[in-house]
Formats: sequence, C-alpha cells, structure tokens
Amino acid sequence: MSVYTSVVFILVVLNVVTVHAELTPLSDEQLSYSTGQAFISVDASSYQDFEFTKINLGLDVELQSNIDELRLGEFDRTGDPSVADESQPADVIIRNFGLGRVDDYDTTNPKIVPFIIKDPYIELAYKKDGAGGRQIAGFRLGFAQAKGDLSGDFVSLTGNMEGLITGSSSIAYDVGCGPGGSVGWFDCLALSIAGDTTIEAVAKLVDKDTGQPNLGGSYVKRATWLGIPQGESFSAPDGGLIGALVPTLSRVDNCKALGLDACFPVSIYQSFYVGDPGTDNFETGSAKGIFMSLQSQQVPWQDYAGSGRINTDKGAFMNFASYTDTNGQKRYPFVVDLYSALTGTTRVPTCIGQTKGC
Amino acid sequence: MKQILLLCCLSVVFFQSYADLKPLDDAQLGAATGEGLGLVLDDFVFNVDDAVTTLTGIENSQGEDVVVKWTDFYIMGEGSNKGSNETPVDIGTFAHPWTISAIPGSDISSVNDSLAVFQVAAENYTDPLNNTEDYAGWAYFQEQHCRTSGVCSSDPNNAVSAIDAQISSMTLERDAISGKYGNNLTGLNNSITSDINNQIKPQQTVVANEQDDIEPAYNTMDYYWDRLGSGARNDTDGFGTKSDGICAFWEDCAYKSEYNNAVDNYNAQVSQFNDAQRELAPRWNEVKWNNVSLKERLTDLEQYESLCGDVGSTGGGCSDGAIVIRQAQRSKVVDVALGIGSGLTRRGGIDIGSKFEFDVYDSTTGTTRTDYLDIDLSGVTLDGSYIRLWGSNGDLDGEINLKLFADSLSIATCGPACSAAQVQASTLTGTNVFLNLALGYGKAQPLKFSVTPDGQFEAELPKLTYSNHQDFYQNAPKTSVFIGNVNLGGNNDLGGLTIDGMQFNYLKVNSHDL
Repeated sequence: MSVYTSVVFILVVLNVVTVHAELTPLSDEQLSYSTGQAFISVDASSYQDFEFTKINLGLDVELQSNIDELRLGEFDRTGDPSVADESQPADVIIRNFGLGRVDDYDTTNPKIVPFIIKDPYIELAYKKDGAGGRQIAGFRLGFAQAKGDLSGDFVSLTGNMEGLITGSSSIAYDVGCGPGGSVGWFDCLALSIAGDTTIEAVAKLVDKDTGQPNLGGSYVKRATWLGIPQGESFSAPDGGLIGALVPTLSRVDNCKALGLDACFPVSIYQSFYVGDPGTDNFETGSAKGIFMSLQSQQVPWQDYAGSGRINTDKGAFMNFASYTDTNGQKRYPFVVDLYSALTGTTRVPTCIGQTKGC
Repeated sequence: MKQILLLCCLSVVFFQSYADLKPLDDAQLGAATGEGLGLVLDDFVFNVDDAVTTLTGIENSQGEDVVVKWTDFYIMGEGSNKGSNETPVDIGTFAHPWTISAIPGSDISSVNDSLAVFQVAAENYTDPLNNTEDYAGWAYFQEQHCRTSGVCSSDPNNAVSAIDAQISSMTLERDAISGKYGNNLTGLNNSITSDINNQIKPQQTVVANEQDDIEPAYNTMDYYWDRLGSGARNDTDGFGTKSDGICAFWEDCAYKSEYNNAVDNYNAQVSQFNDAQRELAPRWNEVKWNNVSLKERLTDLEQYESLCGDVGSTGGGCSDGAIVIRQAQRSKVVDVALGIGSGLTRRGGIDIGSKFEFDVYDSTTGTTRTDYLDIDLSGVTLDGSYIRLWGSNGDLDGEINLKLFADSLSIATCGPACSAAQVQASTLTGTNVFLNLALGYGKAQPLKFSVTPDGQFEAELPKLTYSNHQDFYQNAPKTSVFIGNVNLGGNNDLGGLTIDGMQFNYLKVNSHDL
C-alpha cells in the first residue's frame, strides 16, 4: 500500500466518527452558477525600477477584535534625522489595538458593532537590480474600503495620517478663554467675534518640538505627537467676512494657533471613527486608501484612492490619508470634533465587561 | 518528472496502545472506529524537485489569465540546506505521535458537551524546551532583550530579564494608578459610572436631539431655496444666507419670507446644537472626583483594567489582565532558560520549501513577466496544533489552532537566471518565526464554515455573548505572530514584527466575485 493510499484509507475509515453536519447537495442549476474562484485576481504593474504584484481578494469582512500589542519596524534608527522621538524602539507601537466597538459593554446585553472591510489586498514591491535580478522592496496590506471604530493606546506612529478637525470656534473660545484657559486677550477677542463660525484644519503626525510633519527631508518617523503642522492654519469653509480672517488669525507657529495648543500627544486620542460616522451607508461612508506596509528601502506605492504615488521609506508605514470620493469631494479617513481635538478622545469599549485589555 | 519519495517507516497504530507496535492490515484498519489513531512518519523525506503543477483560472482585473506554476516542494529534516541535502526527519515519534481521533466533547473544556469531536492533532510535548509555544515565548523575549538592551549574547537568561523588565514596568504602572486613588479602585469605578449616568448621558441625549433637529431644518431651507423667486435670490449671498434686500414689485419674490424664516430656523437649530455640545464637552474635564477629571479617571481605570482585569469582577485586585498573563508566561520562559542553561537541546525540526512562478501581465509595460517566489522554512515544529470538528444543529463547527515555529523563513524572488550573489542579495530572511493561529473556541465561539449555493464561501466566528465572555477571555487561545528579525541580503536589518494576543469577539468573512 503506498503512502497516498494509506492516507486516503485512513481518512475513509475516519468517516465513522460522528460529525453530524448536514451537507446540502447543490442542484445542477445551482452548480452552473458557481463562480467562487473569481474572488481572487492578480494585477501586475511597474514604476521606474520597481515592479508590483497585487493580489486582490473579493472579501466582505466584519470584525470586532482586540490585539494586546502591535509592533512593526522595530530596528535601530540611530542617526536617522527624520526620527521624531528617539526613545521609541519601533516605527509603530499600538497597545490594546481594537477594531469595532461594543455598545452597552457593561450590561448583560452588549451589542457588538463591527469594523467593516471590503476587498482587502496584498501587494508586493520588487526593486530591479539592473542586472536581471530583483529583491523584495516592500509589502503592504490594504483595504479598498473600511469603516468603523479604531482604538488603541497609540505609543509610536509612522506614516501618513490625516484627520480633519472641525467645529464651532465657540468651542475653541470655551477651551482657551473659559475657566483655566490660557489664551491671550487678542485671540480671545478674535474667537469671541468668530462666534459659531465653523472652523476646520487638517492634523498630521508632527515633531512635537517644531510642529513639522517632515524632518531631514522626509516624513517624521516614530511620531508621538499629532497636530496642525507648522505654517498651516484653520479655515472657515462657510466663508464670510469672519471666515476670511480665520486663516490669517489662526496660522500655526510653534504648535500654537489662536493662542491654543495645536499639537497634542497621540496618546490622548484613544479612538477614531474611520469613515463617516453619520451614515450607515457603507459605500458612501467608508474610508478609502487605507494600508499598512513594510519596506526594506524607499518604495513609491500607487495611491489607489487618488492619483500618483505615496513615497515610503525603509520601515513600517501606516496610510490613513485624505482621498477623493466618487463625487470628487476631498474626504478624510477620520474626522475629530474641535473639542475632542483640543482635549483628547475617550476610548469606545472594545471588550465585553470592560473597555479594553480583554 | 523526477520524484523521490523515501518512506522508511510509516506506522499507523491505535493511539492508546502504541506500547506494542505492530503493523495493521487493511481489515484491521477497516475495523478502527473512534478509538483514535497515532500517526508517525519515521525517517521521512519528500522531495519533488522538478515537478510542475499548473494552476489556471486566476485572472487579473482586466480578465487576462494569470498562470501559477508550483515547481518544487520538499519536506526534510533540519539541516537540509533548503532541500539540497536529503536529510530524513521524524514527523511525530512513537512517544509523541500525531493523532487522529474521535473524542468526547466532555473531555474538551471549551466544548464541554457529550457530542463527539473529530480531532487531528500534532504531537504534544510537555517539557518547555520542546513545547513549541513555550519555546517560542522564550525566543520572543530573548530577541526583545537583544533589541531593547543591545545585549545579544547567547545567555538564555536574557529572556528572563526581558520579561521581568516588562512585568516590573506594568506593576509600577498599576501601583501608580492605584496609589493615585488611595487604592480605592472600586470607588474609582463607581464614581465614573455615577458621573457618566448623571452628567454625561443626559446631556448626550440633549445633543443627539438637537442634532436630529438640524437635518429637517436644513431640508426646509433647501425646499424654499429651490422655489425662491429670482429677485429674492439675487438679494442673498448664496444658499444659507438671508434675502435681505428690497424686492421690487416687478421682481419674482416668491417664498422670500418662508425662505428667510427657514434660514433663521436652521441657524437657530445649529446654534442650539453648538450650545448643547458646548455644555457637554467641558463636563468630561470639569466633573471631578478626588480632584481628578472624569476623562482622566476613565483613562486611568481603562489602563488599570487592561493590566489587572475588570474592577467590577476583581474588586480592584489584580487577579486577571496582562500582569497575570505575563507572570504565567514567565514561569515557562524560566523553564526554557533553565533547560538551555543546563545543556539540554531542542529536538530537530522540519525543513519545508516550495517554489512558484507567476506569469502576470504588467499593465504598465503591456508585457507578460514572470514573478518568482522561493519560500524555505527551516527547523519547523508544529506540536500542540490541532483541528477539531463537530456537528451542531446541521452545521459543521470547529476549532483550529496552528502553532508553527521556524528557526528561519527565507523568501527569494530572483529567478533561475540570477547569480548566487544576486540570490543572496535578494533573499529576505526572518528568524525565530512563530505563528500561533487560534480560530474558534468550543461552543462559546465555534468556527463555522459554509459554502453558498452560488459558490462563495462564508466563515464566521459568532458574536461573543455576555454569558460566555469571562470563560472566553480567560481561557480561549489568542492568535499571535512574531518574527524576531527580518533581514534583506544579509546586511539590511528591518527589525522585528509583533502581533501579540489577537482575539476576535466577532468575525465574519464572505467571498464575492471581483
């Protein structure tokens, strides 16, 4: 008896064990419509000295999960001028990383609200050596669309993370000019005049000392602060006279805008909503272009949620960048109200019975 | 096709009676029912070094064919040098066989029912040095000590130092939080519950109601804007601003007052929403207990509970959570370190490798190119892995737990035309690679897998419920992935990768056509 027939025979014998699953036969007509193999496709492309192979997975994924610790790109960056916080040992460190949330988590009827992902993909980047060979230059895991709560104790972050801060300037007045506020009289006067004018700004990972999103000619690595970058400002999308003055009044200098702090430790933000929390429509409310990658060298990844390339350096990279929706509108993967941006966000529960650490 | 299959000894035996090992004939095998079978492959070598298996039917996004060729596959003993030396390996031993069995669910704590469970299990080792999960835990902290301290000696106690440092750090953090509240964690928990119920939730309701009022007000404004006469519209600064000019009698001023009223109402609703938010937002900072804001207390409590478990259940002790988990792991790390320190060695593992070719259409150049992928795992051990299946209300339920440790994982992408130097420069190598994939936990959260009539698959880990969450959090295995260090070409370190302690409260995956 060959090894193959032995194994087959063993499996046949094992049919006697009691697995009661009911297998429902498919009719010929049902079988004729079977096209499941098409959930995988493979695309190839090239750019400069790089070749890319992308494996697309036709999957709808709903999950509510927790990870005790996520660490990517843990290597020595001594002497790298783009490092924002040299005390961090890895490019990405997130503890108690949670996707989705649990409503009524401390009751006997908790409701799990999943994080939703559509069409994840895996992509490999190869760098040609010019002599007929090539090496793996990078790997990324991305999602065509994603929507839901993302939580964590964010310790160290590297990549392109763009969030829209928006809210009434009266909120800024309350925080900066109310009890305990530290904003000067001129800025308080400006905020007072602005009243309920909606103001907004784009926050990115920055160097805490300078508020710069780039150091040494590249994006900051191992960032521990998020803020409105140096030289940027709030804008008033509704326009008007006051709105026209807002950019001038609110220009960021040394992590201050309108007398308010404009940069904050990432650790005070414990939960973000990825996509639009105001709609249950996944197609219109999901964020696009999200990926996490690892590179052995500089890799220009294609931007599937926009146009052009996203240039990444050696190490880990998280991409939560702005994208253009189907109506041509610029969207941000997460939006933070002004008060939360100024004071931090509390964590949504991601466990049953406790908020985190399950 | 050249195919070499060396099978020096294949023994299939009754699991419970391997003390007296005799080959079974077909009739005896046929009589085997549910007692269980032990499976041992002794001096095993499998080597298919130039066979080609071609996979078709995969396409790119434009519908063009992608051809996948599987060109090599080997399973040998450790030291085979990526399959070039046909080194035999024992897969299972007579003392530690792989087993195929039907076992009562009552014998499995996660199932705990009288139904029969079909199980395929890799060998089991209880000594920490040979137990893959325990050894991988030691390897993880040994690597961590190297990275964090810069001391990368072979002293096996480096791992103990690393886990001690982590436990110490967590303990200090716990004590700092506890001390901040006079060790009254229950009081802290109660104060947060009370403040959220009395201060936050009522105002959140107000905010939600005010927010709900905005959309109808906006729609009304939009309704009259669409009907606003052209003369009145010319007196606005655009949608959302009032028509405040004098509308002459010859101009179309239809719906001017209705539109202006709608603008006033919309602005009033937005203002009321802002006021409600302005009232809510500061409460997180201004509502205090022991002179600590609600937001800060909540952050502290969450951190304490992640270290020590749910305060409501533990009463503020530290009988659960990350510290307890690490302390339990420490004893295993110490045992492995003691074993290595006393000169014991770990058994040899398995070398596994394959080569693939992908003929893909490059959409940029408009040509077809061939991608090569050469994957080699060395020193693989799988003990402690299992698959369990059982029937439940017409469904097939199961648990999968794969514990795979490899001394190294190599991935090369240079084709056969590459020189040895090119291959070396292009090879990505991961050391101390551990994958612990755990999906499904008994009846609390079985892994369900099904295929729909249209040929798509569906996999699900059902939503965890309140009644089983404590057992699940305390006992269900977690998924982890760890790579000690990744290196490209021998001189480009890319560092470690850690995904530690992943667990799903819920997972559902459906395939669909692209």
